[in-house]
Amino acid sequence: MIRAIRRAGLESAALVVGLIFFVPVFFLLINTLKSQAEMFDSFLALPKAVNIENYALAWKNMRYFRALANTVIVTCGGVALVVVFSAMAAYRIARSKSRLTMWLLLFFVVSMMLPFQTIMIPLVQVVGGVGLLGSRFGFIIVAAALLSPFTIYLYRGFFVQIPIELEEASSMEGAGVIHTFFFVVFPLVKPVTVTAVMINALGIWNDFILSLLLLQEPRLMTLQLSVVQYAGRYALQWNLILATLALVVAPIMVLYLFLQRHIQSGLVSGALKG
Amino acid sequence: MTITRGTRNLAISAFFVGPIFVLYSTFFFLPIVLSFVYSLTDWDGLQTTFNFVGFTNYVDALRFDEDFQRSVGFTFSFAVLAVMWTNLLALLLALLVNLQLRVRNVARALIFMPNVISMIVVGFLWRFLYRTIVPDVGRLLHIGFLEQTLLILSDGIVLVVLIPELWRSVGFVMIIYLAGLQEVPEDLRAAMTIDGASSFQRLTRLTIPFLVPAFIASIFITTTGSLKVFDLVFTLTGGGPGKASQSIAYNIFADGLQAFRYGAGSAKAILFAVMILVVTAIQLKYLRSKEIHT
Repeated sequence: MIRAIRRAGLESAALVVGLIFFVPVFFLLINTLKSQAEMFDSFLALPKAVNIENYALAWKNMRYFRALANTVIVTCGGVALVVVFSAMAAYRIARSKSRLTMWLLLFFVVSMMLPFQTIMIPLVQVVGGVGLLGSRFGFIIVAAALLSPFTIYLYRGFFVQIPIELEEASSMEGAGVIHTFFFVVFPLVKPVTVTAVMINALGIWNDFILSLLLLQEPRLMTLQLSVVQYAGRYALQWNLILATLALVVAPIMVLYLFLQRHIQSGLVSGALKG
Repeated sequence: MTITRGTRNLAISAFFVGPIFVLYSTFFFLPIVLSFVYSLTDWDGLQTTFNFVGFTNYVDALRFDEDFQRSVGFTFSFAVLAVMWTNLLALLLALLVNLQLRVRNVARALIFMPNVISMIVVGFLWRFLYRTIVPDVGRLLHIGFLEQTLLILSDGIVLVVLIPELWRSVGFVMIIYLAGLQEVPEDLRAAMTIDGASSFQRLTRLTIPFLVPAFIASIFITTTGSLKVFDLVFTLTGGGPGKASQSIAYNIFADGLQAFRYGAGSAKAILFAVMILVVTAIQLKYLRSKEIHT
C-alpha cells in the first residue's frame, strides 16, 4: 500500500515537473490565438475561439517563407562543408604521427574555447575584405570555419580508435587513400557524423550574432534575424510577436517531436566528447 | 622515388587538410591575431588611420571602464549561479526520471524540449512572461512582489536572467547525468540494498562517485556556456535596466562594435578570451585531479 502511494507520488511528481517546463510554451500558444483585445482582457485565460489571424499576419509580415528558405540553405551548406572538410582533416591528422601534425591539431583546437566576441570586430573586416559581406556563401564558409575546431576534435577522437588494418586491406586491393577514406573509413564513423550534423545544424539554425553581422540585407535574413527585427517593430502587439516566435520554433519542434531520443543522445554525446 | 613519394604524401595531406585549413586560417585564426593588433591601437573603425597606443586600452578597460567592470561582475555572478543551479536541478531531475516510471519518457521529453529553442526566442518568450503572465499570476494569487515587472529591477536582475537560462539548459545537463546513471552497476546497488543501506546511503556512497565524470563534463559545459551569455540578454533585457544586465559579451558588442570603438572593444575581447581560458584551465586542472582520486 505504502509502496503504491509512494509510486503514485513519484509518477505525479515527474509529470508535474515535465508540465512545469511546458508552461511557458503553453502561454505562448494560447496567446497566439487571441485578438489584441481578448489578450489584454486576460493573458492567462484560454482563447475563446481558435483564431489563426495572428499567424497569417506574422507569416506575411516577417516574410516567413523567405526567412525559412534562407535558414535552410545556410544550415545545409554550412553543415555539409564543416562536416566533410573537418572529417577529412581529422582523418589525416589522426593517421599521421609526425610532429608537424601535432602542431596542426593544436593550431586547430587552440581556439575551441574562445568566445565569438574575441574575433567579432576583425571578422567583419576580413569578410568585407574578401567581398563576402551580405552573401549566403560568405556566411556558409565562415560558419564552417568557426565550427571546424570542435568538429575536427570530435572526429579525430574516433578516427584514432579505428584499427588501421581495414585501411591496409583496402589499399592492398589497390584503392587510393582518398578512395579508402570516402568509401571505407567515413561510412564507419556514421554515428559521429550524425552527432556532428545535429550539433552543427542546431548551432547554425539557432545562430543569431554571426547572421546579424554577415547577412544584414532583408532578402538574406534568417529566421532568428527576422524575429528580432519583426518583434522589435511590433513592440506591444504581443499576440503578433508570439505568433512569430511560434512560427520560428515550429520547424525545429516538429523535428524534435519525431526524433527526440536521437536529438537528445546526439547532442549530449557530442558535448561529452568536446 | 623518395621525392615523388614525399610529394605525393604532401599532395594528399593538402587535399585532406587544405580546404578547412584555408577557411579556418582566414576566418578564425587571422581574426584572433587581428583582434590583438587592433587592441593595441586607438582605431575607431571609421578612419583609415590609427595609432599604436600600447596597452592603454587594456589599462583603461580594467581601471576606468565602469560599464565593462559591471559586465564582468554580472557575468561571473550569473555564471556561478547558473552552474550551481543547473547542475543541482539537473541531477535531481535525472534521479527522478531515471526511476522506472510510466511517465518517464514524457517527462524527459518535456524537460529537454526548451533546449532546441534558440536563445533569441527564449529571451523574447520570457520577456513576454515577465511583462504579462507573471504580474497577472501575482495579482491572482495576491503576491505583491510578482505584480511588478521584474525586468526593471536592477538589483535582482541576474536572477531574472537566470530563470530562462535554467529553463533552457537544465534538460540538456539532465541527459548527461542520466547517461552517467546508466554506468552505476545494478548488482552493486542490489547488494547494498540487501546489506540494508538506505536509499540516501546508496546515493552518496554508490551513485554520486559513479557520476564524477558526468559532474566534470556538466560543470565544464555549463561554465563556458554561461560565461558567454549574449543572445538571451540581447532579447530579454537588452542589457537593462540601465546597463545592469550587460554581460561581457554584450558589452563588447554594444560598446565596441556598435559604438565603433574598435581598439577598446578588441582589448576587452582579448581580456574576455583570457578570462575564459583561465577559468577553464583552472577547472580542468582541479576537476581532473578529482577524477584520479575517486
